[in-house]
Amino acid sequence: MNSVNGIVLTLILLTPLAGAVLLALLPDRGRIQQWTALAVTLVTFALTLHLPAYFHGAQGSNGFAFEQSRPWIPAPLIRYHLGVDGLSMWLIVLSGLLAPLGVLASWNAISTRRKLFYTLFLLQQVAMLGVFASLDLFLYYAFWELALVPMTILIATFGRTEQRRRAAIKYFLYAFIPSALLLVGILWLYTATGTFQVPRLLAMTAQHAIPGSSHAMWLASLAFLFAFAVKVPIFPLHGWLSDAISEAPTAAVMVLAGKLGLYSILRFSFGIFPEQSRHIAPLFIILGAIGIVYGACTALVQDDLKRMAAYSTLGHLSFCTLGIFSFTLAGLDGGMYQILNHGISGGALFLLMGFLYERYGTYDMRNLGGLAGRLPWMVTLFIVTALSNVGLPMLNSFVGEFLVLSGSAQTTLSRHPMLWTAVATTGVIFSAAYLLTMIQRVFYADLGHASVQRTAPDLSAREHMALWPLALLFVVMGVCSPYFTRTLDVLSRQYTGTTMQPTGTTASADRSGIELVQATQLTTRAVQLRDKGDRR
Amino acid sequence: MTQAFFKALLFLAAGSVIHALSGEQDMRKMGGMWRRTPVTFWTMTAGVIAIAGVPPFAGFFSKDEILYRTFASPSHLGLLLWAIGLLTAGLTSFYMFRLWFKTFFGAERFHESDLGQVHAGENEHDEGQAHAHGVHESPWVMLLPLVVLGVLSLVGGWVGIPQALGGANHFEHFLDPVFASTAMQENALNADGVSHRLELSLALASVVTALLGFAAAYVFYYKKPGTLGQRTAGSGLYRLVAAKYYVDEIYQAFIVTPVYFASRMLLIWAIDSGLVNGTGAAAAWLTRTAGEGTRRMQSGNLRSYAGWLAGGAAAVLLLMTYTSLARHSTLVQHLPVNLFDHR
Amino acid sequence: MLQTMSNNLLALLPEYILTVTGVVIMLLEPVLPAHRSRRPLGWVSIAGMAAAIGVSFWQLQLGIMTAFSNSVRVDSYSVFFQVVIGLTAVATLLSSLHFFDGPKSNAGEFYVLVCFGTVGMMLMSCSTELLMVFVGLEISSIATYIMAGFRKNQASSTESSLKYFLLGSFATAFFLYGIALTFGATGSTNLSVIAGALSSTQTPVLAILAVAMIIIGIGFKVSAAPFHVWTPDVYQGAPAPVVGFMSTAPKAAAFAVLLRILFSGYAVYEPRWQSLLAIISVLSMCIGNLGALSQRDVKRMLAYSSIAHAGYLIAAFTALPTDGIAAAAFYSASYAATNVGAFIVISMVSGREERLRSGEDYTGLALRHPGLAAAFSFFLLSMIGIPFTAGFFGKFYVFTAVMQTGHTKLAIIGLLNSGVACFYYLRLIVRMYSRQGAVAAFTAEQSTARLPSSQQVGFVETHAIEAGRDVPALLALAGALMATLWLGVAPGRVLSLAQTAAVATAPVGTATQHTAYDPAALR
Repeated sequence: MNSVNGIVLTLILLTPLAGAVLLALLPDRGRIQQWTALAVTLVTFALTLHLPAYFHGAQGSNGFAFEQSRPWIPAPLIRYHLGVDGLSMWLIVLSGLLAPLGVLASWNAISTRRKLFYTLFLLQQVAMLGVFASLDLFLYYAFWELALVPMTILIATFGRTEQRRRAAIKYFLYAFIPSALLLVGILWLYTATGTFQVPRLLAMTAQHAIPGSSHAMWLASLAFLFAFAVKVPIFPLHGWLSDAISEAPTAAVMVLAGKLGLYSILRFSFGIFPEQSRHIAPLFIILGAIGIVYGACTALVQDDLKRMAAYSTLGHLSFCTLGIFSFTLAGLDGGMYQILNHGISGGALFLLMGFLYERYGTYDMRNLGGLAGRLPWMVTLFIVTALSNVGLPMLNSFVGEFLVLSGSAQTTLSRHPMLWTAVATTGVIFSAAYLLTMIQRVFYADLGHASVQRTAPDLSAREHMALWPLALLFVVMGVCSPYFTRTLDVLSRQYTGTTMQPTGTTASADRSGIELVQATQLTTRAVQLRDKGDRR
Repeated sequence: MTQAFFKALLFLAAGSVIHALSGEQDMRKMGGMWRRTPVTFWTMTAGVIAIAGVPPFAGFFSKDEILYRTFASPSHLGLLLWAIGLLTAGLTSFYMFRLWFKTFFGAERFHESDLGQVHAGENEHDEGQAHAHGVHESPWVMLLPLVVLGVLSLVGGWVGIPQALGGANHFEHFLDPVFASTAMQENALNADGVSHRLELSLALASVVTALLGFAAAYVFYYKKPGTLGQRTAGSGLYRLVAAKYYVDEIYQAFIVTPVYFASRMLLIWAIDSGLVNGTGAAAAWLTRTAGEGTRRMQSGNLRSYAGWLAGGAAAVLLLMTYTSLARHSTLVQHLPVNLFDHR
Repeated sequence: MLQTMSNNLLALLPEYILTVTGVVIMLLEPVLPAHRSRRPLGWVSIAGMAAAIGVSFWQLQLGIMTAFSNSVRVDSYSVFFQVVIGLTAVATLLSSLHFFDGPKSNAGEFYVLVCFGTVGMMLMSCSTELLMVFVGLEISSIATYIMAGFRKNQASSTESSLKYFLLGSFATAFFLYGIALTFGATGSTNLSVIAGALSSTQTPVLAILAVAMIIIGIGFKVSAAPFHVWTPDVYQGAPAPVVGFMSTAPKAAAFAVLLRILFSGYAVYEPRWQSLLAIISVLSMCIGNLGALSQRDVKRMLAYSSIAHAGYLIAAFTALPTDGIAAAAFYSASYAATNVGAFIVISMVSGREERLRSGEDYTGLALRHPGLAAAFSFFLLSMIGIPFTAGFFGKFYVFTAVMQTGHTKLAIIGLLNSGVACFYYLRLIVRMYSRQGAVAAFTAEQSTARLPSSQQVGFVETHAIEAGRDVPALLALAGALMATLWLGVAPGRVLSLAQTAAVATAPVGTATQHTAYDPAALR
């Protein structure tokens, strides 16, 4: 398997790229496009599964696995350098998984210009996988920018209302202008260090060997962080989110927000500018906590399902932000775990909404209602997905949210950790409220306008195929979290500066033990509060 | 953690019952359902027993664990919390069994006419019982997860059997890599010298509480349904309880309405449209206006173009003369000369 | 004697070939019957151009050649620009074979003008004598003035030509004054002599005014702000293939001249003209991008965008000589590939009559001509500077070079400008890909009812159908596309060429400066 290890990342990037070219050449007739796209994405997914299977054997001395490095451009030296660590590996697997599901979701939903759709969809996948796999800052930036283009055209072409062009341009501008600053930051880093190689930059950071005044370092770190924060998006920078999500087709929405930005913060902001990130962390803890409540509250009053999901996305991503900026073991673990969870739970929610839209042609909750009796399977999966999003114990999000909250309660960076944790906890209650309200309005309330007019069948086999893997993952990731967090843990230990130690024997562990007891009590209370929310 | 099993179970079972009754959610209109929906009944039973904390089911161990931990925590507050916990455990047991009795036993209080016609005709083999027409077991789709969860909630607790009861708490270590805390916590607690005997006696207390709850529910809602209501109807307490402490109304007035209002007015209107989108729109407007300004430069008139050209040239020449003079004379040395040269 | 003779012959061989080609076409034109297509003449010009490019490439192997008493210097630098200019001209000729075909189109004259214009530009890029530069500049300018007015039956075209001519003469006068002042300050017009004489000149102010005048004159040619006012009107009026040509080739030549004059002639005054050019760069970027925002006419929008691109390129002048020259050379190559490609698409879409010119006309282009739309989007993305396109590496190299001398603010302004710029490019892309009016269909049965019919598609069918059969233009388009992609994916080869070119022309001593820079010295 060693021979595969060396090139597997390239294969993962090349497969969808070749698929995109193939799709562009194939005629747009019958279901050729769908089947080809499905086959390509499935092959890609199978390839991504190689990563977790052989991760430990393939790890290099610098912590990155499956590394591959070749000179690309001689001067300035840019290398085609790929490699993954625990975090990026899971993100690649997640992207690999979501792609075939996205194809299944678009099977009938995209009925015209399929060639354009699937070609762009695969290109988008290439760019996204490239972002996660790049270990050369320049290569990373290239993929980062490239990811914008297919998504923008997808939104502009396949958006559902007249606002689609506006939404597409808005999305592009919001992401592109901060990226310009990011490029300045990258170039500054290059002139200061003379390298684009991420492992080398990380090593230099560890030895405090990056030359440059603290002022310049600050500005560079802000350039990085700002670009990433807009992409996530973090609370006041989310102007593009609701428009883009409400316009974009289901398959595109599933990969629209979150992963890229948060991954980049974790890899680059925290990796290359650890001190600056810690200094600015209190601000982001506050923004994260506010974002959670803000997202949940605004979601509560939306009538449009997609817009509701957009704000719920904001809330979930704020959870991740809160977790990772707490700079505690639990917070970082939980934050990273939530990134994955959001991809899965949020993805399932978008899939279901897409299926509902295919049936009733509306996302407006006022027009829906009373569908529970007609679509028993759909309501079941909707509820399961909602519960997963809410963070029902034993399901995936619970682990992440629990860890995030306990992390944010323990953090030493914020002056009032408990206050912000408490604020975030109320957000959990609100999130239960809006999701259950949504289900009540869509499925149990009086028959709406659209649900009276049309009769629609329950989930088809194709739709089941798209949903069940995710539903299964809710449970698997809720129960088998250690399997995933084990690899994520390496990164969080690195950022918190802790090393693996035997459980709780030392004197210092006692102190932190007591802190942890307090934290646990608080989160137990949080869970109880949420349960109350559930019952209502 | 075990809570998850029976919480999910109860939710789904309740859903199943509601489904069976075609969307009826009011407990007062149920009753005697156990013959109609046996699977739901048994799984619900498992859930209720588990949540009430009857040994040896899941809820017992988890609840026991929590209560034990609170009791054993160093402060005096722990004792109070323990007492409150025990009381609520008893009440939980009471209301869960109340639900159980009311739903599945006693007289059938539902009426066919009230029920929707969605499932009419499904129970064709059951036509002898005209009365029960429409009340039926849920499809297997709904039942399968119920059964799985039911089994889990019964045995789920066993993985967490405390040491005092002779088991190793597998569940605690299950999430160890994540919850590095648990192990430490346990060490810290054991170091406090809380004995296993204490744990056992506390467990006994909670069992007794649970059983008391069951007994109360049995008496009031199965044996003599309605007695509670008759006997205490006049008292303020019952009215308060019957109105759910007016909690719903208070919620509605003080939490739900303001939250909705604030979300709509403040968050959506002021912050989202105003601040978040407003800044973007303002920047766009500014850029566009500036663009409009540059467009105005373009009159299409040749003389004005020549004018611009000459003006620009004059500006460049003036600037260069000025800077070169600045270099060569001491008079204007302190003026900013190099705008972009930072070397 | 024989040696100098052959050098004089060899050094300007590409120019000679083109001149002969032009003369031959002029002679053939009247011989050909009036009703016959002028295409064969076009092929002749293309053959001549190809030969010129080939010879120019071959000159690389002869090493550095000086000719005509040191007024012409053929080195890797001049060859680089000559090849870029030549390829641009070939693409233009290919795309105009069909465009200018037809009765009374005077297509023959057009081919001649392209040939002569190219001669002038090639001459500019290889001359080290200011007067020789001026001659080249005039040859190329006069050709482009006429080409701009080539749609004689349209008033706007004539107007465009006249404006260009009058303003251009005005600007050329500045350039000539610059030469005169240089002569006054140094006693010579030869760059190698100037460089030595400047350090000991008694009249530094005169020399500085001279360099300012030269910058004004060239600044007009490259449409840098504040000498850009002619650009939108001229581009709008001129025929699309001509705009594609005159927005790239003469600019590349002018930049070649400016780089050589400033970095090797006026190297002593580097700080002075660098701050001036920094200001001009910022002005051009801002005015170009802001102006483009509110344009509806696609050609006019691209005119403003070319102002902005001139600004990006000028930013490279503030870098260290080798880095700056290499970055600028690469940028002009990448911009040439991109812009020529974009204008080929425009000429194919709008046709000679240019009825379809506003952004709205491009709505739904992707439905009818997915290939054209994809190509156009690709060129526009390259102008935005999206990775894996030529434009990205162009900007990347320029701003890396700028950052390395510590001009961080300039880099920030430049990159933010490219952020603003993406709006108007993107608006066009989004237009092409979105259908007019109709809401995206969500179910199969609805979408069949909404299959695009010609009424719903905003893009009206005219020229593009026959354009689809225009094989030479498609060839040129494919070439531009490949070049843009190649420069975006594997820029290494062209970049190394640009770097050797930079070393060839940079003053001695600065070549080592590149490797010797100290990161710690930067802020």
